[in-house]
Amino acid sequence: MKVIMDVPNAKNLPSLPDKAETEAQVASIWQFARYRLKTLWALPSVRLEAGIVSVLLLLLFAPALPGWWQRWTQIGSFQLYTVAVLPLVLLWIRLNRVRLVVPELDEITRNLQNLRATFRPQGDREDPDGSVLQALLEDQPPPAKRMLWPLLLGCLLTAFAYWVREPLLTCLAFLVVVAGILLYRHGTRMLRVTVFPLCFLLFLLPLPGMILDWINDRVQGLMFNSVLHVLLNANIETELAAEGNPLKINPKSPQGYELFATQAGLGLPEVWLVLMLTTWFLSLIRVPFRAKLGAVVGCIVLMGLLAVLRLLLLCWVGTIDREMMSLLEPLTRFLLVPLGIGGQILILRGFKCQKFQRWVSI
Amino acid sequence: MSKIPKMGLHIIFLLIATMAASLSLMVVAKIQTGHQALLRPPNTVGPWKLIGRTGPPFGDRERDSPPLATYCVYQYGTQQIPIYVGYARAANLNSFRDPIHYIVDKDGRIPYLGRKSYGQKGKPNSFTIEIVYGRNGSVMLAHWVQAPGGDPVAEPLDSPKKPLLALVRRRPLYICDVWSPVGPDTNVYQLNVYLEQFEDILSKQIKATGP
Repeated sequence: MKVIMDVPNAKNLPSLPDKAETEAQVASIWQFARYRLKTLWALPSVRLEAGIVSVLLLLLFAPALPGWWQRWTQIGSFQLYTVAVLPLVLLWIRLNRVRLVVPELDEITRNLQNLRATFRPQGDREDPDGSVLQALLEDQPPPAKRMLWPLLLGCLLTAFAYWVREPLLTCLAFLVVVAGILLYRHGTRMLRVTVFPLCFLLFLLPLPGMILDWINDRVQGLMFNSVLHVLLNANIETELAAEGNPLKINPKSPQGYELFATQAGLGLPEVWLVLMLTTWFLSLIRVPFRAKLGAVVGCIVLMGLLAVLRLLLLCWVGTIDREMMSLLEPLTRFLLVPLGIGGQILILRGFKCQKFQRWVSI
Repeated sequence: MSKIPKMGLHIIFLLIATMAASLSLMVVAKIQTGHQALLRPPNTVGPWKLIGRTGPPFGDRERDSPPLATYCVYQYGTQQIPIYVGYARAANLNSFRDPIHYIVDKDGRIPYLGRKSYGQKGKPNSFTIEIVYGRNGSVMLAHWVQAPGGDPVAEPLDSPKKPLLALVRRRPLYICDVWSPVGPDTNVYQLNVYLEQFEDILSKQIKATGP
C-alpha cells in the first residue's frame, strides 16, 4: 500500500550529533507510522471490516466459551491465569500499534542493508541516512506474501472441533483462524511482527485433565519434597505419604497436621501469572536475549521459593491454629502475586530490563 | 460493504460458511446423540436392588460433568452399605480422566500399589478395583470403560485409538464406576467381591446391548 503524506524528509533534517541525529531520523519513521495508523483507522471500510470480522469471530467461538471457562476454572487447575491472557494481548497490540502498521519495515531495512552489503543484526531499525524512510515513502514495497490455506485449515478445524466437542480443539481452531486471517489479509510480514501475541495466545489452550495431572503431580512432588527437607532439617517430625499427598507434620502428636495439596493450593496459577506477566513485559523491552533469559529464570526461581515459603508458613500455622490456617490459605495465595511482581521488578532492574523498545508507545 | 476489499470479503464469507457448517454439525450431532438411547443400569444386580437415582460423584466437574450420564444406588437388605453405579458417556478427553480426581475430592489418592487390575492373560486388563482416599472419606471403586457390544477395558488410553475414534465418530463409550463408601468397620474383602460381581453383571449387560 502506498501512502502519500506530508512528512518531513529525513534527508533535510538539520545536522545533529550522532546519537541525537539517529533518534531524530527514527522519529520520522515513527511519525510516518503514526500518520499511516491515523489514516487507516479513519477509513470507514477498514473499521467496517475489522468490526464485522471481530463480531463473526465472537459469534463463531461463543458456543465454545463455556467449555473453555469450565476447564480454566476447575478446582486445582493452574490454568486460572488464562483470564489475563486476552487483556494482555490486546494491551500488547495497543502498545505496539505504531509498529504493527508498518509491517514492511523489517523487509525494507534488510533489503537496503543487503544493497549496501553491510551487515547489521536483524531488529536494528536505525536509519542513519534516512533511506528506509525514503523507501517507505517513495518506493512501492514488493507485495506481501499471502496464504489462504492456513485460514481454510482453521475453518475446517473449527467445524471438526465442534463435531468432537473438545475444548482444546476449539481453542486451537480459534488460534489457527486468527493466524490464518492475519496471514491471508496482511501476509507473512504481519505474521512475523505479531508472532509474540500469537504465541502468547497459546496460554489460552484449555489443557485436558490428563496433562494438568501430569504437570501437577510433578510440581507437587518437587514442592512437597522441598518443604519436607526444610522441615526435617529444622528437626520437625514430618512425613510425606507414599502417594505424594498429604504432607504430615508431627504425625504422632495429637496436634499433628496434614497439608493436602489441592486444599492448601500449591499457588501454581499465581506462579504462572507472574511468569506470564514477566514474559509479556520482556517482549516490550530492548535488552540482549541473555538478559531476558536471566530474568525469566530468576522469575521461576523467585516464584518457586515464594511458593515453598508459603507452604512452610501454612505448615507452621496449621500445627498451631487451624482456623487461622483456613484464613491464611487464600490470603497467602493472593499475596503471592504482588510479592512476586515486587521481587520480579528488582530482578528486572538487576538485569537492566528498563528500556522499552523504540516502537512501544505508552 | 462494497467498500471492503475483496480479501476482506473472502474472510467474511469463510467465517460465515464455517459458522453455518459448525452449527449444522452441532445439530446433526445432537440429533444423532438423541437417537442413541442412554444406557441405564438394570433393576437388579444379583440380590442387589435398584433403590433410586443419585447425583454424580463429588468431583464430577473435574471431568467436565459428562452431560449424558446415569447415577443409581443399589441396596441389598438394610444391613449392607449402598453400592453406587455411574454410567457416563464419554464426551471429550476429560471423560477419560483418572477416577481418583473426581470420585471423592480433588485430593483423592490411592496408596502405593493400591490399584488391583483384573483381566484375562494376554488381553488388556478389563477393570480395576482400588480404595480411593479423600480428605473426609474413602470409597472402594471398580472402574472400567466399555462400548456397547465391546469388552471392558481398564485403561482406555493405553491404546488410545479406540476411545479417540469413539469421540470422533460419536459412538457411545461408557465410563463405568461402581463404588461404595469405606468406613473403619467396612469389610473391604467382602466389598471387593461385591464390586467384582457388579462389574461382571454390568459389563455383560453393556456387551449385550451392542449391535
